[in-house]
Amino acid sequence: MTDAASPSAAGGAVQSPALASHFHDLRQQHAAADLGLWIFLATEVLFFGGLFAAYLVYAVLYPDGFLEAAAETEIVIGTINTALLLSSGLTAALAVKAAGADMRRSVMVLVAVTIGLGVVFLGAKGYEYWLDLEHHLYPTSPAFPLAAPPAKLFWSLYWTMAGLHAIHILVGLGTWGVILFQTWRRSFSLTDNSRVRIAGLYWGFVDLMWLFIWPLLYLMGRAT
Amino acid sequence: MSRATQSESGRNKPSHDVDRRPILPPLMPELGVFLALFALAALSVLVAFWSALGGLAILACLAIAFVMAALVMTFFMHLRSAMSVMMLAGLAGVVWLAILFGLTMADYLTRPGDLGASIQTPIEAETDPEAAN
Repeated sequence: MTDAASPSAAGGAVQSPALASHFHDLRQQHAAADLGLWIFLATEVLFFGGLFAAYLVYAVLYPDGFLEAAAETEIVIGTINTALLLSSGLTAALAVKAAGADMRRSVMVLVAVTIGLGVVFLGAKGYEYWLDLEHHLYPTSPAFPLAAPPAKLFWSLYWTMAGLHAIHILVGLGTWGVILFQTWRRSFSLTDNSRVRIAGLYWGFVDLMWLFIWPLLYLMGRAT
Repeated sequence: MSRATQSESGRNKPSHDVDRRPILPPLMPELGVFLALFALAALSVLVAFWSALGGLAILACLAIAFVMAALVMTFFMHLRSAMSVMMLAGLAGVVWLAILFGLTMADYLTRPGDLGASIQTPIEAETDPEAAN
């Protein structure tokens, strides 16, 4: 509380050091941070959207090939990963809530659990990729096991979509790691800074994308 | 807030002492939403293996995914308590996605002949590398 004694415009309360000079108050600053991230997420929707559009086109053109190819993905690992991501979504949302209540210890525990679940997700994903490589399920493999040529289109999309999502998980884990470190060092105010809430929004988005990737890559083609 | 002045940092804290505070924040409604999401995911798996639907099971799974996405955005991404401008920003992404899907499919679905007949398929490409359109 060593901030220059410029009184806040609203009611003369002491101004938070987290408040940037170009904002009227913290409420406005928080809203600007949230809006900025939501606009970023809208661009991210379109980033993934190109791949979803490609999937849509080829699934409509070659439904049989896609159904056959999708039945070869590792549905058990994919479904376990869904459960892991939903759980990490819960812990991330609770971490945001705890930050709002200035519960530092709670934020640290919840962020650590979120990171743990994300790491297990990536581990499972890596194991799954290894199994897929063993089964020659990549489009350039000379021993690609599926007969229908459109199956290669599906498997190209599988590697790209799951890979892009895994990169997003990695970015999210890095963000959480920095926040965990900073929370431990007490280098920012949990209530006045937007960091935890912003990271929570990003993690929610990564969760969201998986909710659509999971049915398209893993649940497709099972009812035959 | 009388105890707030006694705390070391002097920051505006809730009235609990730091050490006596519970390790977790209130679990509701997030825990309830999480259980609902788990139930919907389980339902999605069941639907995916339900042979009566055949290849169209994916459409039912995607419908469930939309419900799950709405729950995640409302509760885990705090749209429930957010200003409407956040919802507009998110919605803008969905609107442009709909335009992307709409214009793309408007092309593919309105080409002459059978669906997919007027573009080079991988099968054609393998049997006759010269075949195009």
